[in-house]
Amino acid sequence: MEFLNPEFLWAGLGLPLLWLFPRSSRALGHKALRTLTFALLIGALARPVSVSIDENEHQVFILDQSTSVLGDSDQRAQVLAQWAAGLPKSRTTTLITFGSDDGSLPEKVTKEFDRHLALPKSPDESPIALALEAASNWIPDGSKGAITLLTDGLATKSGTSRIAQQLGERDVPVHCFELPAFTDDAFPIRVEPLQPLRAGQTARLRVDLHGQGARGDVSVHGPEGELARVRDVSLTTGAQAWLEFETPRVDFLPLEVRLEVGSGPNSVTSNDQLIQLLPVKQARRVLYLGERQVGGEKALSELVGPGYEFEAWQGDELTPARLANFDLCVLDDAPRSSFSEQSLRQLRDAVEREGLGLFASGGKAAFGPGGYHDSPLADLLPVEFVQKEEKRDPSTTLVVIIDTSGSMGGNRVQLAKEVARLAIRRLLPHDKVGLVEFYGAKRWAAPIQPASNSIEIERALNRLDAGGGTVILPAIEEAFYGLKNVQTRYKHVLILTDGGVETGAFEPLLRRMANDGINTSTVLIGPEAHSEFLVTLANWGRGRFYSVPNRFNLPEILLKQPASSKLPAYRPGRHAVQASGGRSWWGDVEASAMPDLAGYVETRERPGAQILVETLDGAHPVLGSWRWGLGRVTAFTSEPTGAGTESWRDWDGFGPWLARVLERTASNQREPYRYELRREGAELWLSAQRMIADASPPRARLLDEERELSFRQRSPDRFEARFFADPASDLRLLAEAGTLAGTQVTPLASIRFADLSKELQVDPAGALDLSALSNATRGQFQLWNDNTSFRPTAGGESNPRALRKWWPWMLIAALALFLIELYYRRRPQRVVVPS
Amino acid sequence: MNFTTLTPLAFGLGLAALAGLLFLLQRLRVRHRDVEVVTTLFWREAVEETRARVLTKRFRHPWAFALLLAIAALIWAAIAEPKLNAIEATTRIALLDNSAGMARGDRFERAKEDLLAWAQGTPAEGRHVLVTGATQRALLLPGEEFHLLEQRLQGIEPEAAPSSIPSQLLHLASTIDDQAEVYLFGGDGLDEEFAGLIPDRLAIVQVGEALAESSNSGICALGVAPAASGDWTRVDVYVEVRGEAGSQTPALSTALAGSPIELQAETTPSTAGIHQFHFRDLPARGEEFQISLAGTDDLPLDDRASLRLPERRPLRVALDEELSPILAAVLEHDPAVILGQEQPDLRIVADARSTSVPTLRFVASDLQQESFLVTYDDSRSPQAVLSSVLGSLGLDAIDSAGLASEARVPITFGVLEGPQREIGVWSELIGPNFAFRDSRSFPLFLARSLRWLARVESITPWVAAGEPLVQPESTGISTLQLAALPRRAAETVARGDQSFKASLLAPTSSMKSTAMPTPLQELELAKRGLDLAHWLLLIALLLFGWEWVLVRTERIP
Repeated sequence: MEFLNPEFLWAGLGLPLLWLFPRSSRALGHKALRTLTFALLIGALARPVSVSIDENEHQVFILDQSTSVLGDSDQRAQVLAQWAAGLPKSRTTTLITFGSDDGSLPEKVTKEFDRHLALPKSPDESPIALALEAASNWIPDGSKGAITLLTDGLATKSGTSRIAQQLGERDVPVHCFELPAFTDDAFPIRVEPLQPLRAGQTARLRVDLHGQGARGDVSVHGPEGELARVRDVSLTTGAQAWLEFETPRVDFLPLEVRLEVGSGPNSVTSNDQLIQLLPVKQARRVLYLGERQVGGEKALSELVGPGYEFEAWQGDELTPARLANFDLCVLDDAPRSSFSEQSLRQLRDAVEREGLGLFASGGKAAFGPGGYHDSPLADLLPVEFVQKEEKRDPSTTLVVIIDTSGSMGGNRVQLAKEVARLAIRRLLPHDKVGLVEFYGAKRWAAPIQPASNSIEIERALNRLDAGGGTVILPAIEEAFYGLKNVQTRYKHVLILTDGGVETGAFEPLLRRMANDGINTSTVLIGPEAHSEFLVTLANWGRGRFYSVPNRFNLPEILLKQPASSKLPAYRPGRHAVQASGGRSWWGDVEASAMPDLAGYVETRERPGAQILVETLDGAHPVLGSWRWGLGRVTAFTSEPTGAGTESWRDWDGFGPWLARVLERTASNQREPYRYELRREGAELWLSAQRMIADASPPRARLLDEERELSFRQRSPDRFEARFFADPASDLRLLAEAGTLAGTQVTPLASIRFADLSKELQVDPAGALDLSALSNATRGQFQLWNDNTSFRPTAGGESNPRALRKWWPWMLIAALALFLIELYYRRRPQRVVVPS
Repeated sequence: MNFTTLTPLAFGLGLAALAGLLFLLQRLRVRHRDVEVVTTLFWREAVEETRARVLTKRFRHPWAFALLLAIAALIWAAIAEPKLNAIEATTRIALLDNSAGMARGDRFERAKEDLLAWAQGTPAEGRHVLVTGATQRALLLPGEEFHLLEQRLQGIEPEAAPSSIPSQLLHLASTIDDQAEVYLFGGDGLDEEFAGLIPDRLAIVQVGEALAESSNSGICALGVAPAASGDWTRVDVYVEVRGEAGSQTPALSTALAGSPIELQAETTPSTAGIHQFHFRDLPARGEEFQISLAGTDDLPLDDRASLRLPERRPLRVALDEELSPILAAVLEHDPAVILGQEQPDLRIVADARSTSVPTLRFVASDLQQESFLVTYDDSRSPQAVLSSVLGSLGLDAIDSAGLASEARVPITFGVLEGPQREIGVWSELIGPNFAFRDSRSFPLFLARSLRWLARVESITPWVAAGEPLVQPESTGISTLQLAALPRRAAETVARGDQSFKASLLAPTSSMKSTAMPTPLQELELAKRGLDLAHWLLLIALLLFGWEWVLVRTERIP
């Protein structure tokens, strides 16, 4: 036994005075009674207690009065009051309510409870976890108790695990009664971007919706108005709507999602909106390496839209630091000679090791024609240059112009025929050949036809005979026009004459032909050893001059380039193309609408490459892509803004498609950290997972407060900053991290009350599992019924301790003794009769 | 005024009964005593006074009656323990911190003494005492006797958990709508940003004495990550030890699977007492990695920590020939995968044939109703499996809407219970006409599928007391809301088939508290007050003594 006020025991020292004062008497019984009564009173003042088993139960009832709960809240409170009244006397009852405006309850309800706590109304309108924590604080440690929870489970904030574990550990059962919830409604639950938003690029949002069969439009609005809308969405449990729009060039984008229900149940309209604040990454940074296309970066920038920030290369050395500032490098029609070996190696390393995207494109100065076949970039490209296959016999069209004028009479015309036969014999079946004779007039002795038609060609040759004048210019013009419509790699005109030709405007014609890839060679037939005029013609025509004095000196007519020379890999002309690949490359662009290409560099697909566009004729790659190391390399074998794609200028899909291709190619590995911002009320955690090995530790600051956050390293690749902020404020952060190359900045955002759902916008699928909560705490779970009778069983400490008060009993004993003493001193005794 | 132990009615009835009883006793004839009469003239009167054969007499001595009634009423009222309603009790909440930081020296004992002194000097009506550490519990409810606190404090010791005083303060701010005083006994100190979030209605008082200078070093970080070397079967471990500024690099003892092991660590030069250790390429065999600080210091709780390293073994995968052109390149770049047909752990097949090992199969859509069908072999509910595999297989990252628009049929996910794990996917989805094969999510899906089939555990980077388990991937809000949480060091929590033992890893506990406390003596605590019952009893006692004197001097009968 202990005394709460032991100082009063000192008063016991005065008890002997009762026996001495006021005067001694022999009324020993009376004195004894009085002394005992005094002793009891003094003892009661000292408050004696002893530790004993606590019979008291602490019963806490939690009543959810939030808007989402259907039914009469007061009636349920009365049922709870009845339950409380039915409990044993040795109990303490607490009623906790939340969700109502004023928290008031009828007095006849509250009087049945020892205390009533109404949680303040806040944005967290169904704070079930908070109510459970409050309930836990009203069950003392080491006591018996139970919590009875009446709720619909639609908690506006998650995070019940901590308190559930704690109550389970204390063996305090949580008895759950599931209340009917308000469900006859349609509302948006949450909105999330499929990928981080990037300025200028297509943002794709997923809106999770709830409904009971209604239909309606879902739209998303930014500061400047509506951004996207999806019409006639079926609103059922688990419904989703996808919204796409072009991301504005802002750092942070506040969004409002609106649901406009057209038909079906939608009892409440105040919950048909949803707000979100999303960070927007800056546009893709593109380094444009090109010099032949004047203003190429500007034209390309206009073509692909605002999602890319182009920076033109100024001829400087490419270093890791320089390249690290970019997500993508566009190598557009820039010859290999423009770059140093070191620059190209750095570019290759950046792709391979740092994940930089490389988009190689161009025409006559790109790929093979650009001289890249032996460069460090040759292996990176998903296409192979055809220069390496020069042993392949290129196709040729030969037009033989034979002078059949009178001066060619006799052996000369026969000699010319022999030379022609010799030249034609060198052709392969896929080559083409045509014969033009001139004898004062021009005539196609044999139209251009496959060289395999040897019989027809021989007949045409045989029919030739000398006669007439020598007028050669129209014949050459005829051959030129004929060759313009022919698609072979080489086009050649061979003029066989004795040199007696007229004068005229040969030079412009032959030079133009040469520029169009049509070479002209001349053969002097006859004994004259030389003809200066024919040599000049051959020079203008970029051909050769041959002299055939007699049939014993027939020359080897060279119509095709030797294997060691560069092939004209650029293929002008109209080329039909076909597309393949999935939506990720094409998006909503109609691939079949792709027009013919106006020119491309002939290449060959590399094994493992993905060819997305190729020519119908020859199946030459036009667009190919593959991963190389950490990066992606895409080859476009034409000029995106040059002559090769001139025919695509009017194609609506060209810009969007090219933008998509650039986005697919651009690096996603360049972010030094992957950040995640978690918010729980006033507490926030910003975690950063390192994605680039050499990235420096992250830094972050709150923009609105200019407050630096402090990170601490938690694992080899993860850092974490814990900080506090007003839950009612929107947070805008900038996280920074340095790499070898420079600092990368990532915007992050958190909308106010990000961890809360609105009261009538709680995802039913995310409702608190009341059955699991009951099981975890060994409580009972039932569906609510107004007629339910319930006696909550208490748990907790098996031998709860309490203080047993002894002083009330001592006071009762003192009172009794007081009365006894009164009786004692007044009781009747024997009558003494005086003698 | 109301009564604690009696209802007003019972009190009134009892008082009336007492008055009646005293009235009867007052009328009781006074017991015999010798009466001297000076003359027989008074004889009659004396006889009348002491009648021989009557029990009662007429009511006399009203003042004596009043005195006796007052004494009885006071005692009766003291039994009823009256309380005055007029005094509005101010809410005073005491938070006793029993987190790890309180284990430094005699800090906790001093805090308990301060708490008891505070509780003794604080009116019981508004006094609420809570202990907060790994868990939050009430030690004394308003109105409860102070001595209960002494009882309930027995057995309360510091726990290897971080301080939860900030979260408890936020909880109080959310639940208390009126003015209240909160007294903190212990804690690691509150920074300015946090203090600014506490509403003005809560007055926070840090109680105690400032900590004396002490030296302590503690393990504040222990985390694991895949090996930077790229070796799939190895991991890197990071250890951070914090001590006083300018402290020497501490000596670490390491053990793997319970056996001491000498490991070389890369150390980073100390900045402000922070020592960093990087252990490279430790074998990932699912063993426990233990680390401890040599020597002794003020706080032993933070001198050791442990972390179970993940189990990573190569996956032997047999790939059907016809799938090789599509999948081989992706699989060859997966460091976990060894392609081969001999004794495979997993198979990737292009048909519906049965296999003896977990299998990823690509089957025609006419053979499988769902686009993605996951066969599982445990006893979980299909809903639980579906929700867990959607994330763990990367299926939630798939552009299902895009796939559906390409396929012109809905993309569906299904689960099925079976004898062994399998994943079935429509073979059309990896055909050339679908974006799935080219998408960034495809290698992710493939890699994760193989790991799920092989039951490869995802790396849990650290397990710290008081913190929810770090999700291997970002998950957003947990829909189940009942996720596991280790509350104190050495506590084991489970996630799926894996269990994790937590370590303290709390810098604020290891470092000296920044709190600027107010000594208890400076608080305006009431002297141990006497309650109303005490005063009633004291008055009763005085009256009782006076009555004794009156009786003994025969001034009253």
